[in-house]
Amino acid sequence: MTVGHVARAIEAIGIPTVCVYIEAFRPDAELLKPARTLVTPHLMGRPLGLPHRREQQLAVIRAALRLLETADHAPTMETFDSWTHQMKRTS
Amino acid sequence: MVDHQANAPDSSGPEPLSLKAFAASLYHAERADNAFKFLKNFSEEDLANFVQGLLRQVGDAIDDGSTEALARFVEQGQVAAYVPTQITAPFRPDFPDASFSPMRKPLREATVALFSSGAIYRDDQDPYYPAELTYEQAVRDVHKATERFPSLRVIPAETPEERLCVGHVAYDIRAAQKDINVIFPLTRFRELAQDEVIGALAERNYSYHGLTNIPRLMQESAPQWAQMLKDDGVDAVFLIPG
Repeated sequence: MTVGHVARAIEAIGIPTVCVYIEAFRPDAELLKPARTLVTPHLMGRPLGLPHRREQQLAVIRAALRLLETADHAPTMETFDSWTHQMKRTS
Repeated sequence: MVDHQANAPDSSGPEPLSLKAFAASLYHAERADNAFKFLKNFSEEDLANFVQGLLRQVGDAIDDGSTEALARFVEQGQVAAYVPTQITAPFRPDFPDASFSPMRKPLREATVALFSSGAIYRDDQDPYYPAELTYEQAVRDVHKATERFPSLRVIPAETPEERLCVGHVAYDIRAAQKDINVIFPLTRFRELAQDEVIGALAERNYSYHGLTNIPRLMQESAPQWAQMLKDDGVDAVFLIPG
């Protein structure tokens, strides 16, 4: 889950970022504190959802993209349950 | 059907395989299975409870014709297996809050780049492990991945899905091989650009192998890659983990 390191460097140069993390590695995201993080319930290797579940994948992506526009501080973290489409801001 | 109740262990045969030993064999060993390697983290009792629950979920999935509850059960098992090991890891430096760069234009006008640690590469590029190894050998040699320096692959926006390969040795790549959009959503972003949710997908998108030499990643690669994205002129970056 090293994308947090890369996201930090990209933000530092002035480009907004959003990271998707899976719930199993939430502690990594809490540690690295990238500017915007969306946490999903999925398994390693499938952070955006299951194969050929286009709507599930799009729901995750849209939720993450919304963070780009709605977050106003770092770190902002939201948890998105892509099975129920429930969203919770956790930091 | 015969019920072999008298199927007692043969004293001349191999040692009986314990549940814990089986789980350990899934972790980059003789039964390497990156989808279920997390079982290695469970205590014997937790492991037995998980397997029992898994069998119940499989039975329900067969009867109900739906795998959603089964998928959720496995997802929650992975969380239960991994989260405690991260919280108690001996070396956990506390990072200061990251910089925050606001969006400078509406998303519908923004060019967004994909950046994945999922070890995606095109079929005319090198995979992320030495060419002399098969993928299966590289999975068993997982500890060597952290010695390799980070390397980046450029994935042009118009790359057809069938030309994309996955070389990550630490996660189960089967889902990505069936549908690359589970980890590198090139097609989904092309659709979002067409639907004007985003302005455009960047011409150059990127991937690296997330399990890598971390000091090198932090000190050299990440700042260089950030400058590259700035030179590309992208307005935002969407990062997906491996």
